[in-house]
Amino acid sequence: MTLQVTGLSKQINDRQIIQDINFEWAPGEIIGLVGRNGVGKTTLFRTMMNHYIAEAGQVSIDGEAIQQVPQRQQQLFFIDTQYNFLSTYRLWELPRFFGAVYSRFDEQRYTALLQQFKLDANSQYRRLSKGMRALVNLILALTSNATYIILDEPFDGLDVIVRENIATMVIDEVADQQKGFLISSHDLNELDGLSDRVLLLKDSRLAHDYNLEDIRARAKKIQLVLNDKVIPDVIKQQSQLIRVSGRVLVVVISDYTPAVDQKLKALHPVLFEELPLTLEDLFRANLAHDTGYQMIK
Amino acid sequence: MQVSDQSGLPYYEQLVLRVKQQIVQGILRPGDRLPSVREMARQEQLNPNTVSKAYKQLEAQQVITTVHGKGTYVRETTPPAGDSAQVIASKKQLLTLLTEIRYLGVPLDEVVDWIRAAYEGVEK
Repeated sequence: MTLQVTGLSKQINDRQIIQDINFEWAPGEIIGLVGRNGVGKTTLFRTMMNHYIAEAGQVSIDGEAIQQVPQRQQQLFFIDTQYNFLSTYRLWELPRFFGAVYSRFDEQRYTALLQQFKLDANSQYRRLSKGMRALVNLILALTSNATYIILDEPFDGLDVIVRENIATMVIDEVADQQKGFLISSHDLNELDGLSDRVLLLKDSRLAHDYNLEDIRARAKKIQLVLNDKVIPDVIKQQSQLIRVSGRVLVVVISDYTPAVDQKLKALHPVLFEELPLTLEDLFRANLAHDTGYQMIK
Repeated sequence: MQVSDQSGLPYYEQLVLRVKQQIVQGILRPGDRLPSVREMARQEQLNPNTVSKAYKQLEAQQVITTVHGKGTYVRETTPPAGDSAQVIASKKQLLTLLTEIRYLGVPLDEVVDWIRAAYEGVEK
C-alpha cells in the first residue's frame, strides 16, 4: 500500500508554484514537509487533494490515480484551514458532510473524542478557540478513517498541552502501521523526533528527501574556535556554516567521516565541541543564504 | 521530545543507551517489563518507527527479549564474553577516546576517577 505523487505541477497566475513533485508515502510513516513561508506547501496539499487542478502529474493510491478514480479520494484527508465550509456549522453536524465523502467515517468515535476533549457538540466551529479548532480538525481526520492524512501546520499557535495531545494522537494512530501522516510545519522543533522523514520544499521543487535518523548518524554539528581568522578549505568544502559569532564558528558537517575528523583535528582548534543536531540546523544549512563566509572576512 | 540530551546521536541510539543506563543503575531489573513500542513512543513523543528500531537493536544485543503477545522484558544479564564483537568495538572506541584525552593533558588519576564513577553508575 502506497500513495504516489508523480510529476505534480501547479501554476497560479502564470507563476509556477510547485513543479515536478515526486514522492512516495506509505502507511506507518510520519513525513514532515518543511520549507520557507510561501514556498508552496499548502498549494502542494490543495493540488494533491484535487482542490486545484494540476497542470501535470498525478496522485495515485495503490496504482489508481485519484483524479480518475474518485473513490480513491476517501483514502486521503485534508482540511484546508484557510478555505473551508465549516465555520457556521455546529460540531454535531460535521459528520454528515464528512460521512458523505468518507464512507468509513466513524461517527461514534467522533462523538467520543469530542467528549474526551470536552468539546461541546453544539458549538459553532467558528466560535472555537484556535486550539479547539486544531483538535476538531485532527479528530475529523482520524475518524474519517482515511489512510493518508495531511495536516497543515497542526501545531501553529497552540499551547504545550494541546500540542502534546495532537502529537500523541498522531503517534497512537500511526503505531499500528495502518495510517500515514504528512505534516507541514514552520516550527521545526515540533517535527523533530515525531517525523522520521522530512521533505524539503525549495524553489517550488522538492529539494531533499531526508531520513532524519540516517542523517543524525552521519552528520555532526560542531562548535569550534580556530587559531586564525582564515576559514580553512576543509570547512569551506565539507561543512555548512550555521553561525558565526566572533571567533566561534558553528558548522554542520553532513558527512562526518574519519578523514574529515582528522583534517579538523589537524587544525588544532582552540575549542572543539559537538552540539546536538536539530532539524532546524539542517533547515538552516540548506535554506539560509550562504552569507556566513563573507561575514567573517 | 525528551530523550534528547546533549548528544547528536540518532534518537534510537539515545534510547538504546538510556535503557542500558537504566539497567546499569538498577532502575530497570531483569524481568522488568518495558513499555510497548506505542507506549514508549507516546511517553517520549517519538516516532514509533524510531522506538521500534531501538527495541530491535536492544533485542539483537540480547538486552531485552520480546515474548510474543505478552510484552518486552529486560533479560537476565549474562556476563559478556571478553572477546565478543561488541566488547572489542567498545574497547576500540575507548582507546581512541583515551588517546584524545591524553593529548589534552588530563592526568591519569582523573581519567581513572571518571571511569570508576561512570562504571559504578554514580555519575549520570
